Amino acid sequence: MIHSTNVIPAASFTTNPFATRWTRPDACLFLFPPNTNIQQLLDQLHQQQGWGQIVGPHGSGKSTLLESLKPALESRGHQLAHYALHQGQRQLPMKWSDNLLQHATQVVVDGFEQLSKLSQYRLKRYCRKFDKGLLITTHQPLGFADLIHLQPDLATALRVVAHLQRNHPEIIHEDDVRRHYRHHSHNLREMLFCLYDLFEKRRLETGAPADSV
Amino acid sequence: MEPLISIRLDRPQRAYQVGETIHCQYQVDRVKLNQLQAVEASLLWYTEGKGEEDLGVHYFQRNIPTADEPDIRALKQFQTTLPGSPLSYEGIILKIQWCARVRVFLQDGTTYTQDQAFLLGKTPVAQIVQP
Repeated sequence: MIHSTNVIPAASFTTNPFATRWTRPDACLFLFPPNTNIQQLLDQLHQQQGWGQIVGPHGSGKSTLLESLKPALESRGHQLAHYALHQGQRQLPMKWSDNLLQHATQVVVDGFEQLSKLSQYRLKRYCRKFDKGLLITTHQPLGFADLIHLQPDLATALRVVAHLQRNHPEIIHEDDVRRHYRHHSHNLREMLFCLYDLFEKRRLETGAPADSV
Repeated sequence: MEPLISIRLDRPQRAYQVGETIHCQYQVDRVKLNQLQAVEASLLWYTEGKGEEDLGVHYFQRNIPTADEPDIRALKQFQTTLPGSPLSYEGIILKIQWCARVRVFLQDGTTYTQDQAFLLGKTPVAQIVQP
């Protein structure tokens, strides 16, 4: 239960390190698995003529990895056309005549499996015809050359939480991460949502002072 | 070395009410003039929480070097009347933060941002109560 009291607000609230503004794909640093780095992935994608799939379950960091790859691809001279698809989105949100797509050398589709089989086929054919790379994310392999398979583990979860809390007192502890990681069946996104609530609860209990946002 | 961005609001407690005027001064230092492309100042609110985020800009000004005013690092100021909503709010799943924000754009494409938070209104902080 939540209610309002007469507690006087401070000009600057205590930011929650698990809030969307810190955990969304374009705000959060992708923590590469051991023995993997961004240059390796870029080189591999280059060898595959820009075609590849990033495979992983819900909340495993596929979109976050894409956001990390985008500036690196641009710095290698690629023009990107990036489309993020949501559940049930069966067609690409663009026309074949769009400038962005026509000038792109690398097409990136986050959630490629949302597209209908026909839309998938058309996009692949278009990219082949005009010699464009096609990098996708998907939950299950879709016949593209692999770029990476993401399978988060507890060690990754601990690293992510430690990174998000790096500028905060350690309100969320390792035991919390272990418990919530198991509870959410290895879905890091759902785990972070729950850690947001836990952080709020403990912050209010301890009366943690407001810090700068 | 990062540029030094200073923002000062006219009230030490940084608490304002709807319809009041807020005065803001800002200055950029520790950066060479020829490195600077632009300096932007804004007064805005944003949400923070578990879901979708929102943001609204109430006031905005952009400074670029001109013949009349080549040094955009110098102390600048603006004032604006504060709107009726949204009020600052510190909830559990949603928070609304007002701030004065200064963004510095360098010629090499790097951007630096500094916020100075303030309160609009006096909405009490939400608390969790155990049943």
